[in-house]
This record gives sequence, structure tokens and C-alpha cells, in this order.
Amino acid sequence: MGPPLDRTIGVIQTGALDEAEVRLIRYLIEGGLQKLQWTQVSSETPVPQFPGIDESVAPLDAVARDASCLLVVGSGPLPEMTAKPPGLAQLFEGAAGKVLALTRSEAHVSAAPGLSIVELARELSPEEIAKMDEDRRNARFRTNWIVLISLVVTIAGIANAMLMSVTERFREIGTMKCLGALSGFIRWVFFVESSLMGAVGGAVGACLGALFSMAVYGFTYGFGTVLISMDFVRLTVFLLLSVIAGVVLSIIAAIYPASVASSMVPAHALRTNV
Amino acid sequence: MIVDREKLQALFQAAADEATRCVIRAVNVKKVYRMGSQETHALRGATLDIYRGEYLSIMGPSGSGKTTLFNMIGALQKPTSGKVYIDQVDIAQLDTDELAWLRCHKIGYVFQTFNLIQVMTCLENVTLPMAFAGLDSDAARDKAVRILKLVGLGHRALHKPAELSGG
Repeated sequence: MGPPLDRTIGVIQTGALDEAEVRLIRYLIEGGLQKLQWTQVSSETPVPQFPGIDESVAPLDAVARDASCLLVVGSGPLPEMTAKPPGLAQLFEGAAGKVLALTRSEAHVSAAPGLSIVELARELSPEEIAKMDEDRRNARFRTNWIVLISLVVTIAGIANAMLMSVTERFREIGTMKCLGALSGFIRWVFFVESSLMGAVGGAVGACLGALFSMAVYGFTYGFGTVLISMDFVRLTVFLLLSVIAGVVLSIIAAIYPASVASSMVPAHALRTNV
Repeated sequence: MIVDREKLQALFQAAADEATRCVIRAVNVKKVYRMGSQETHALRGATLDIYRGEYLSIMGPSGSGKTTLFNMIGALQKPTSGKVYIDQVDIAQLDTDELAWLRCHKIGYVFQTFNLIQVMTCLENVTLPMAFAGLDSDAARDKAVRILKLVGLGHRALHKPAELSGG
């Protein structure tokens, strides 16, 4: 096809774009592409907005006009050749001699008279698959390590904060014990405090983390694509999970401080001056 | 661990009904504080009986063991050796929750430095021990309001201790 510099590409969109397609278009734009001429077939997905490029929407039979090649993207199928005009047949007629590029091998075009078909998707060799698997395993191992270490640090941090909170309240604990508070009550107070802290911390942390990832994604692939590629169900699940994890971790972290507080001899607790 | 209140109460009742009216009995109470290798003898065998209805003050120079004795007979600390009986019950035989019950129902402490909980209002400070005693919150509230009115603090019930006069 040659370099994309100053060229126009006709893009036939059949559905939602996947990440590889978004990256391909961004790569073309970085290569100096002048214009994207979109057309939509059997798709309700809005035309994605890419920064730094002239975009327009044309009917199906006019999408090849001025375009040096055609690109088929999206999750849906192409319409039948026999559909009533203006359809694919008219498009191919006007685009004779140009290249038709397919991003997905499953988006079969049975026949495109006069066009040369280029399949951009290709089968991976077993070595490549093995290497990708190993890379993925390594990445998962690293991620697990980072998560594990951050959990340990979290527990240590919360335990420290709770110990501070216990020492701060030595006298109050002593007073409550003099008034007849059971050890279980003192323990319970600190568990409640800690789990509240964990819930709030987990929620705030998860929101900040989600925003941070969105910002990183936006800076890497463009902000227009952030919302398109987001999975809100999983995001919600992870938000809930992180709140639960926060509560559970902070309860674990509070075991030691709470037992220090509850097993304190009241006379010692009263004597300390903070 | 749940305190069997009825059983404990019966125990104290039976003990109180005995011929002797001795509320507090301390027998040869000793307390030694250890700081590393150094030993400080705070109490060298204090023995005393306090009877029901008695009004008693313990006086002595600083460091003579008043606070230590108070801690022992107030069930705030265990003696190194010796026995303390409150209403004929040896407090060394009570576990922590039974001691908590004892402090809640049998002993009233007045602290030199008030020891009020600064983040709570007056009303909450007064209701706190009632909650420990198992009173439901409405009854505790009514009682606390009555007590605060009795000492002339009814109009300041919702103020924090720091907002009150120190006198």
C-alpha cells in the first residue's frame, strides 16, 4: 500500500472496534495519514473519534472516492453483495484496482471483483504462541508479586496506624475499663474503626486507581478511545472487590492492636500520660 | 465469654449476707515493680479491713504507695502477693470479664484528672457506664439527664467536657 503519508483511507465499520484496530488506525495517523472517510454498515456503534486527523462520514458507495485503499474494521459481518443498491457491489465497482484490507480473518469477503484483498490478521506460529504465553506468565507472576507486597505493606501500615490510635487512647481505654467495659467491647471498638478505615481507603484507592489507569490509557492511545474500550461491569466488580479487600485486610491488621488494647491492665492504662 | 450475671450476683448476695459487714479486706498485700534488675517495693504487706458505711481517707507522703493500694483494692491491678477481698470474694479468682462486671457494679472511681472522654458530650460520658451495665439506651438517657440536672449541668448536657468550667 505504501506509506500512509497524505493519503485518504476509506474505512468500512461493521461494529465496535477492538484494540488492535484502534492501534492500527492510530499507527496510520502517526504515519501522516491525511483523512479517514468512514462508512457504517449494520452497526449502531458511533464512529470513533481520533485526535489529529480529518474525519468524515460517507455513504457506502461513496466511501472509496479519493481513497487510496479500503479498510474493513469492526466486529460485525459485511453485508451481502446482492443487497439492493447502493450496496457493496456498487462500492467495489467504483473502487476497482484499489486494495481492500481486512483486519479480521472472520470478516470474509467472498469475492471483490477488481480489488486485491489483503488480510492483515495472520496466524501465529507455535513458537510465537509459546513466547507470548511465557511473557503472559511472567507478567502475571510479576503482578502477583507486586499485589502481594502491596498487601503486606498495607497490613503493616494499617497495623501501625491502629497501634498509634491505641496508644493515643490509653487513658480512655483505662477509663472505660474502670467503668466496666468488657475486653470484647474494647476489641470491637478498634475493629470497627479499622474496618471503616479499610472500607473508605479501599473505595478511595480503587477510584483513584481507575482514574489513573484511564489517564494512562488516554495518554497512550488517545482520550477519545478511553470510554469505548472500558468494561463497566468489571470496573464495578473490581471496585467492590477492593472495598471488601480493604475491610478484610484492615480487620486482619487490627487483630494485634486490638488485643493490645483489650488485654491492657487498667492501672497501666490510667498511668500513661499522652 | 459471657458473664453469668445472675450467678455472680447470687454469689455476691450470699457473701454480703454473711455476719461480717466487711466490704474490702486486704491481707498482706505486696506489690513490687521491676524495672530491669531494679526492684521497687511499692507496698510491703498492707493489711486492712474497710466496713460498710465507713468514710475513710488514706493519707501519706508522695510515693508512699497510696495509688498502688488504690489500684489493688480497686481491682485495677493484681498484687505481687497477698489477697484482696471485695464483699468476701477473692478478686484474684475472677477473670477479666468478671473483673469488668465488678468494676461496673461494685466500685465507683473518682479520678484526680476527671478522665472524661473528650470527644463525647457530657450526656454520653454519663451514659457510658450505664451502657456497660446493660441499661438500654432510652433508660440510660433519662437517668443521665436526671443526674446531670441534679448536679446543675442539665442545660449543658450536649456540651463537650472541654467546653465546661474546670472547677
